[in-house]
Amino acid sequence: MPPREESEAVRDAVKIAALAALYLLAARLGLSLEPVGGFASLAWPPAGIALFALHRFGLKLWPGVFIGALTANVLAGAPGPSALGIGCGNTLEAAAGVLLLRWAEFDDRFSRVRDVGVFVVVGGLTCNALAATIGVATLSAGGVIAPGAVDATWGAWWLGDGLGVLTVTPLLMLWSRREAWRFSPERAAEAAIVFAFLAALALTVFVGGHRGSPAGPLRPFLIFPALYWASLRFSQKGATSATFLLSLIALGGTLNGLGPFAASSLPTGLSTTQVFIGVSAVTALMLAAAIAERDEARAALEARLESSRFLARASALLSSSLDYEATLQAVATLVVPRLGDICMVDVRDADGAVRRVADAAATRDQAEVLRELRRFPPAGPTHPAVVAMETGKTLHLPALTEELIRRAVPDDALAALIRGLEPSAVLIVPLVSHGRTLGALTLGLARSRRQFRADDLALAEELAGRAAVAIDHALTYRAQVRASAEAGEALKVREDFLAVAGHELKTPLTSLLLQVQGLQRALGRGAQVDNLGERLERAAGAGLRLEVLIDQLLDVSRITAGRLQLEPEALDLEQLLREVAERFHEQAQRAGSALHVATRGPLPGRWDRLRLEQVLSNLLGNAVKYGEGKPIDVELSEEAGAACVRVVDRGIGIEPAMQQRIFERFERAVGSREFGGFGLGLWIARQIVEASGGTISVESAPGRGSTFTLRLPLEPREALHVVH
Amino acid sequence: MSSTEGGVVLVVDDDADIRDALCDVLQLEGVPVALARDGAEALQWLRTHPAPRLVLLDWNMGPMNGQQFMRALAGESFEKVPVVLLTADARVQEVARAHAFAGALKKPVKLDELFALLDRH
Repeated sequence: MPPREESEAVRDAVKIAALAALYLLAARLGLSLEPVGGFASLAWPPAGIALFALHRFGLKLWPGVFIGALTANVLAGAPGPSALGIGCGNTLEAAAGVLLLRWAEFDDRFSRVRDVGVFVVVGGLTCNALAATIGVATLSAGGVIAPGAVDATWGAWWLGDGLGVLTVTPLLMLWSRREAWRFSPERAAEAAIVFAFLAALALTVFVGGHRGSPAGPLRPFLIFPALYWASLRFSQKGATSATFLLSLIALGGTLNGLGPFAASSLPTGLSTTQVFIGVSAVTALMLAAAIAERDEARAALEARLESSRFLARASALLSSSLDYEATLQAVATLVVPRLGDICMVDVRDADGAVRRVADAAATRDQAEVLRELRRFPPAGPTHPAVVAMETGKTLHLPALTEELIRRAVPDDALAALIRGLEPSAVLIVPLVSHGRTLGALTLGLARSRRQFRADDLALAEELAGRAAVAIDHALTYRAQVRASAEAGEALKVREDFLAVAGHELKTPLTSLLLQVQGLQRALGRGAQVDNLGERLERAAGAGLRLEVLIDQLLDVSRITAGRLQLEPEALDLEQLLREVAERFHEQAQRAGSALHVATRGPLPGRWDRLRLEQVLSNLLGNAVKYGEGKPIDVELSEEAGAACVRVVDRGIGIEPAMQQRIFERFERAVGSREFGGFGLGLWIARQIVEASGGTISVESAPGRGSTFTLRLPLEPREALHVVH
Repeated sequence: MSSTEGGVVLVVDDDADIRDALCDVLQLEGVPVALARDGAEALQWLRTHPAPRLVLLDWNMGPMNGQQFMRALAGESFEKVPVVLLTADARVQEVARAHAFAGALKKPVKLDELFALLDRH
């Protein structure tokens, strides 16, 4: 046998021996009081001791009861078989009582009326009947008692055992509980007074009086005020102690032939006294239990009220601002130490990133650790907060063992920080609003014997729910603000664009109308018009310019709607480039720029001819427009499987900050009013080039000119729909 | 004074097509025309030539726009020259009322309005 079990067994043997001795002592006392039929004592405290011992220390102590009862009865002169039978009966009485109490879920704090009721039925009415029946049957079978005395013996046995249980067991059960029972000086003084009062009353009633005095039958009722006082003010312990004191004095009086219950025979007097004590004991216990129930109900109500007030404060904080980071910090500060020693709030963003938005701790040291912990927002599939967020369910870790920490957080630095907090219990509640998990509330108890109770869990979940709703509101609000700002921005861009577009469209329209009206006027008066062809050419030019602008607008709408379709065909890029350059020759010349085209022979490929022309025209047009009359070079080469077109001007150039923006919609590096056009050309060009699987880029320096580079794959991918 | 008599009309516009078109129609009516690409060129021309009959001034142009031109005009010996505003922007016409314009034409220009203005100057 291992040492531990051995010492356990020794301890049990000692307990059994002590129980047997105590039982024997109490039994000798009971049997000394003129037992009915020689064995049925009207005061039988051993029954109460036995029930208590087996209830408190376990059924394994039954041999103590058996040995005690057997010895007592043998010493009292019972024949061997009868003593054996009584021993069995008394042992069974206690064991059956324990089992019945367990079955009925009896709570030995006697704090509910039902517990008192169960105890009275089991210990005071049922199990004593078992012992009485077995005992009387055994004695009767052994011929110890005459058949005529069976009834009286059974009744005395039943009453004696029942009253022994009712007066002794609750007293022992309550006083043997390990619980602090602190008294203020006032309470101690009150206790002294109430017990002194009770003792004085009891002595007056049961010892001071004379047998047969006229008021005798009424005098016992004088006891009740003191008994009620003890029960109401000092709960269950007060009730049982008062009953015990009362029973000592009352029994003492009666045994000495004093008091209202003293009768011609001791058994009669004792049974009356015992019934009185039993009724008093049950009444006092019931009263104390009712008071305990009331107190508990009040405490529960107060706790609920306190929780409501706490939640109301938290709600007020949460709804005080849409800056949820700040309000969550205020709530975290409120939570500590009401719900835990540390509190952390993590919020999960739409992209799944988790960040710590608030934390609070009860002590400065813990706050220091929490500051460190901010570097470790929950991550990894085993992290408890991640688990809580993934499952959407509260996670309660009532004991945070080293093994648990190591399993949950693989990161050593993080594990060390957590260990530093000495957490004893952790509660993680997901922040869920409208079915979406927005984060987690983590509460921790550190270096504490406290545990999270059911009402803490409920409160934490309620708080988390409100926090989640507040976060949800704030996020929705922010999204709306952002959306409306974006909508405003988009509206402004559109308005600006419409203003520019109006101006730009009117310019060629003006020149077209002027030419036409001028000719109408001249022809109307029959005048000879010189160089009519040139004039018509210019009018047509203005019309074409208008067409280009309108085409751009249509392109924008087509691209924006995702309807840009490319129609690739076999073509020679060199030839196309030369054609386009030729078209710009005159314009370049007018601007004073010399246009040089350098190529290395034909470069065949499959591209959308019209769209490519459009891109090249845009680049050349820009070069002329912003070239300040300086030479313009156009180069075509083949580089790494791509056709490469470079358009180099030496004009005004582009600020570095603008170099990427010029490829965006409605962007232009220079003031919109000074140079014509929508500022759409490069955006459209980029969309076309990218849809062809190519790239367009720029290198530029202000005042030194720009080089636009167009790269087009020689084996173009399938024509792509533009995604912009 | 009929539109076909009198001095030169100075057209100031940064858009070549507009300049050419105005030049074409005015010449077709026998009105001598001078062209300037912006306010600065116009000032230069005014300083070196006799005062024109009329200046047709575009508002949105660069580098020197219509507004800058009007400010620069004040104090010059030819500050009294009649200037007609030429713009596509209705709002700018309102702003332009602050300046001493001889008239305003909205693009696209109606020829009848242009010649009606010329007749008055």
